[in-house]
Amino acid sequence: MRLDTLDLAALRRPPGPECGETLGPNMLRHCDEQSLACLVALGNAFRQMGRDPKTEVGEFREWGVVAGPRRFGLSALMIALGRIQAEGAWGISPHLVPHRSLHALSGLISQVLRINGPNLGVGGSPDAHREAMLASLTLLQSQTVPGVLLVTSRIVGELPVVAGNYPETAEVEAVALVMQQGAGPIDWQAEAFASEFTFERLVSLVDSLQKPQELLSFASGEVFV
Amino acid sequence: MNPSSAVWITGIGTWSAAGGDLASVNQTLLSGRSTIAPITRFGVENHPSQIGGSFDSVPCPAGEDAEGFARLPRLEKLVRHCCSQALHHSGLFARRKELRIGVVLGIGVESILLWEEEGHNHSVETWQPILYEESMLERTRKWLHLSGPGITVAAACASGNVALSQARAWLRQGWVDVCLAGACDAAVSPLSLAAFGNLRALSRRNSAPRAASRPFDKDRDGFVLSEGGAVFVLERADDARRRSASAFAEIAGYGAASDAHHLVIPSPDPGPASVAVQRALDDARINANEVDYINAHATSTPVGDAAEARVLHKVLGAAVQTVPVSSTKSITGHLLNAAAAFEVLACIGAMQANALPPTINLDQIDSECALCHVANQTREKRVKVAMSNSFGFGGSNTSLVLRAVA
Repeated sequence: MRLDTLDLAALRRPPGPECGETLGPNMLRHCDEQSLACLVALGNAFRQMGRDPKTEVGEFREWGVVAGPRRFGLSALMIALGRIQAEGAWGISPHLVPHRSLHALSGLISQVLRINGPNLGVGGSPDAHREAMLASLTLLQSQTVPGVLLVTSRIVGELPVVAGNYPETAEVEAVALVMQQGAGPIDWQAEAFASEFTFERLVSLVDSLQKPQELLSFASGEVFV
Repeated sequence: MNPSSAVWITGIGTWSAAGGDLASVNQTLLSGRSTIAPITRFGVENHPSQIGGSFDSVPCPAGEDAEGFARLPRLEKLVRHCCSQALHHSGLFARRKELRIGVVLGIGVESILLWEEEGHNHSVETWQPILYEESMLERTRKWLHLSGPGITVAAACASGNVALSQARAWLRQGWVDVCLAGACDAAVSPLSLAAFGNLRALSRRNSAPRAASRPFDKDRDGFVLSEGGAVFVLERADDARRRSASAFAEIAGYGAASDAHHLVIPSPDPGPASVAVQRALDDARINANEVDYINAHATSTPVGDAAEARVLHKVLGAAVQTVPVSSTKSITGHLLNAAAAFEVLACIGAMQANALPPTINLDQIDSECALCHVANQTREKRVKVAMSNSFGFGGSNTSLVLRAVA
């Protein structure tokens, strides 16, 4: 799913994204745009599975959470760089680290869904989606978690940005997968190892899934390099 | 592939204010000599915390073009130095093109650090994302001619432990022949210092830098920002034996769990972190009383140190009276994303020296942190099994068990 600036602005107002525990006004104000988009995508994935994204989250309590946002924290960083040059250290928000570091998104999902399984951020780079897939498959195949909630996202277009400012036209695209080990229609492992596994390819694979329950599957297999 | 086959550390690369190899780092830690000093690389006049564990430069790896290396961002220099040194140390550098070598690096805020550095050092006001189409990880893989998969992971202070666990899994699953795993952070920057300072997470004991990092001490007032890196070469034990490689430790156990409580504050309930520690013990198939040394996460924050003490009481039970615990962050400060990997180095050092590094500045133990402390003085002890706890922002709790290789 893709959200534009107006969508994102609306999500910053209560009740915020429909996914897990309601975020308070402070969290809505400070969390990253990609965090908002990923929570919406995850809520949609739960709905596709026939779950209520606000209440029925207990079954995921021991699952892993893997978040692979691309260029996470960009908007806040641009503002922060402008402020530190203009105002010095006191101009920097204490919310920068908790909300805009690479670990912040997986931690936020873990918190709002009350998930006690491991949570980790992955990538941050242009290959974030591929790295997130590899990290998720690693968790699944080592059989340390019953399943993995994977989210990955990017800022569409990636316009040049200026310190102290941020392009108003920025859109965010996010994908959420609910993954468990089992036979499935897509060999995610082969995809994750392939250099042509672009974000667009991931979106098209997700779009090609016909039944919601297929979202719970991926094919396990041998190594592909 | 055997999902439980042993995985060994057979090479080490590191750089920090504490030293540039295992021997020098161990000497620093066992001497209990603080590496914290006033920050002089940039102006800190208006920062609430003005001290850190920093360094001026990173050595250029052998064979690298010195001028090209000098132009690299600070974080990338660290990554290249640590990866290259680890491969050389393992004796696999010359064979790196023929082996399928993967890379798992704990790096928390690559883009932020790179953009910040560019902005501050070169007064660049406009950032062109297109110039960053290739990640630092990809550039490093290409520079080293590595053909295995690579990822960067971020679990805040726990990133290094996560990286080692992922690399161990890749080796066990047969995805790679060898894996570089560890973490680097170049966090002593104006933005980090300001952000953590304004979060009130940092010590403000600016007039006494060496006394500022004081985990478990009653008068602790926050952690001290630090930076550096530690990257390890991991191999399946069978492969390492076959080539008669030197082994520094086995990655024997790993556990992880999330607080699901708060983005910054550790859970007052020791339950989730205890689960992580217990999972590491179970994974290593040992009991708590078989641990010879615990390198604590303890960063010197009032809340975090007490929370970890509660976790250790819960997991260790009666053994909490006898299992020695220290926090080497008292000496080095907090290397953030690189902390967990660096503290693996401290555990290996303890195994090699049969001596435990102390928690320095532990003048008056906080009553909420009653543990079997190695306070202020190095203690001689044979270390066959060491545990390293790392708990991060975002509620990430991890624990790693290392076993000496006979």
